[in-house]
Amino acid sequence: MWIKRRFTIDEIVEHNKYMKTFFFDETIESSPGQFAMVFIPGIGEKPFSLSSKNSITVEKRGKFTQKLFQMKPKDFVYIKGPLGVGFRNKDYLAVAGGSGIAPMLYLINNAVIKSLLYGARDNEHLIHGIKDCVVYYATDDGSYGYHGFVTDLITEDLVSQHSKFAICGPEIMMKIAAEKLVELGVEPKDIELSLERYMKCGIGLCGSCECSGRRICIDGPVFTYDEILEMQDFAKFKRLPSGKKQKII
Amino acid sequence: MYYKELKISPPFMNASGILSFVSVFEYLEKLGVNVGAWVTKSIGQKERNGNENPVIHQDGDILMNSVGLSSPNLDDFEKELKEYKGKTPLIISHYGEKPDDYARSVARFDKYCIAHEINLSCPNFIPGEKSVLEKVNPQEILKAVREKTNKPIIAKLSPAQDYLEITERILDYVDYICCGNTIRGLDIEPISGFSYLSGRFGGISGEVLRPITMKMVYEIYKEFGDKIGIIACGGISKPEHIISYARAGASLFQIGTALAKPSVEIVNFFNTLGDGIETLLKKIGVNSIEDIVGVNYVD
Ligand SMILES: Cc1cc2nc3c(=O)[nH]c(=O)nc-3n(C[C@H](O)[C@H](O)[C@H](O)COP(=O)(O)OP(=O)(O)OC[C@H]3O[C@@H](n4cnc5c(N)ncnc54)[C@H](O)[C@@H]3O)c2cc1C
Ligand SMILES: Cc1cc2nc3c(=O)[nH]c(=O)nc-3n(C[C@H](O)[C@H](O)[C@H](O)COP(=O)(O)O)c2cc1C
Ligand code: FES
Repeated sequence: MWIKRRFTIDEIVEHNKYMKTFFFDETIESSPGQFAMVFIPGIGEKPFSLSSKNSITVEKRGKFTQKLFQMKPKDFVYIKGPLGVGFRNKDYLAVAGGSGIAPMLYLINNAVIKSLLYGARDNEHLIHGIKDCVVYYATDDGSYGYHGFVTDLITEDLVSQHSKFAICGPEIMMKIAAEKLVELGVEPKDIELSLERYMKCGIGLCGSCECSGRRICIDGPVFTYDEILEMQDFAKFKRLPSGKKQKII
Repeated sequence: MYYKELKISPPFMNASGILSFVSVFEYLEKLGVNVGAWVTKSIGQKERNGNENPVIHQDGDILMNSVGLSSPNLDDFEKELKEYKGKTPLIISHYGEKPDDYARSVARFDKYCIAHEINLSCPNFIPGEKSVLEKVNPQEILKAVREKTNKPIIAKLSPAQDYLEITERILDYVDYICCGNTIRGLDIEPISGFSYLSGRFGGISGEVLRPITMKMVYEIYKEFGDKIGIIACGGISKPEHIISYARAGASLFQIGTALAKPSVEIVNFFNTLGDGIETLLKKIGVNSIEDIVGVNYVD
């Protein structure tokens, strides 16, 4: 069961211009892949994956994350969590894109990732120094690691060394990754993906995060690929804050 | 009885704004849920985002929301209604700013539903906005709507409104009163001084609402029970609550806050609710809920 309470920021790790990890003074009993609603009074409340029992790892985007990036140790936020269901397996080959690295850091912390394929727009958006698993980097502009999409790094050789797969990142990237894994003989039930939809309540009431009838905040955000194959809106439609459906491009 | 009866079985459903979308209803049905009807999120005329996050605040047993009537527009809503493949009938909830708004959406969606719920009581509009009844006479709304449909009309009021007076004014046009919506409240974050909700005020729902709403059901039944039916909605989470509400005067039941559960648990919740009610009815010594509607010894 989740709780909502005030947490103090203990330490902030600045990975680069766009990515920071915020550590809190207390831990949240949780598992990797679960998320939390983070509330800054007077500013707003947004969903973030836990990147460990007491942290979130955030990419700077709009109003809320900009405010978060201005915060200092000893400042406080409210955290409602842990929410949703997380990853269920171990010994993963993980594929992460952009801020999709956040739940992977929690998995790495729990020593359940063997290999990580990690891609971002450019070197400025990558987190370096990830330990305890083999990391293969990719950047869209070639400024670090492989020049191209992270999904290109999925090879038959790597796949054959793993039996479980975890994917988190932009939805189109996740679709390409999952399809490639299946082509290489992986069973859809052995692939887990973490989905994102617009969240309001975060506790299963409002339906805002709906994707093909599943409320992502409470039935997910992590689903196995065989469940996702039944979700026709996956990588096709998402809902806007009004509830209007929009094509994913 | 005078009113157009809403014949659904089992006698319970979700509350408007909870689960909200027909795609969610369809999925739950696929998982085997048994409810009498599904109630859609209140639909308005124009696309509307509602309030920004946070729109939900919870502290202990208190749940407040300031979703603020987010809604797609009528065209986008209809697209989804057309695609609905579920077998469970729909009740469409409507909100508007004037009688015409309600009439237009009731006429347009009449073919998709078994009844219309007219939301006259949402307590959380966007700060600065006025609630609909501050602007229009409820009688005009219900009169306009009645001209557009022969299906049962439900007026949804809140325990915070002058519900006996409003019910009296709309009596000739409605079939059911839904008791009720949430009650407006405020909770202030102590360190910063900001509201916990971006919509400033929020509607209180869940357990704390039950005794307040039960009094509303009881009073409306006593005054108008021979002329209209009553739907109870407020803090229901157990079969016992349904029986108590029936004794107060309700014959149909809606569940909101208690549905903050994964899909599989929602299915289990609804499917055991029916059994729980049966067991209690047996204990009382009656066959059906109808036998106890309004049967109490409060006075
Ligand atoms: C389950 C889940 C886990 C997430 N985990 C992380 C994480 O670990 N690290 C991270 O950096 N980001 C994460 N996000 C995304 C994060 O919520 C957005 O980056 C954040 O809300 C942006 O807010 P903003 O005000 O800074 O930007 P805005 O300008 O408001 O939004 C930028 C983009 O963020 C997304 N977004 C905004 N509000 C919401 C909302 N209420 N719900 C869902 N998406 C929203 C939209 O795609 C939007 O286009 C996660 C989202 C979800 C749903
Ligand atoms: C998140 C949320 C959204 C709601 N949206 C609507 C709505 O769109 N229309 C409406 O008539 N009532 C709405 N309500 C009120 C509920 O339908 C219901 O009347 C109220 O929550 C009391 O029932 P409960 O105690 O079982 O939750 C909403 C309530 C919540 C919690
Ligand atoms: S965000 Fe409200 S149901 Fe998921």
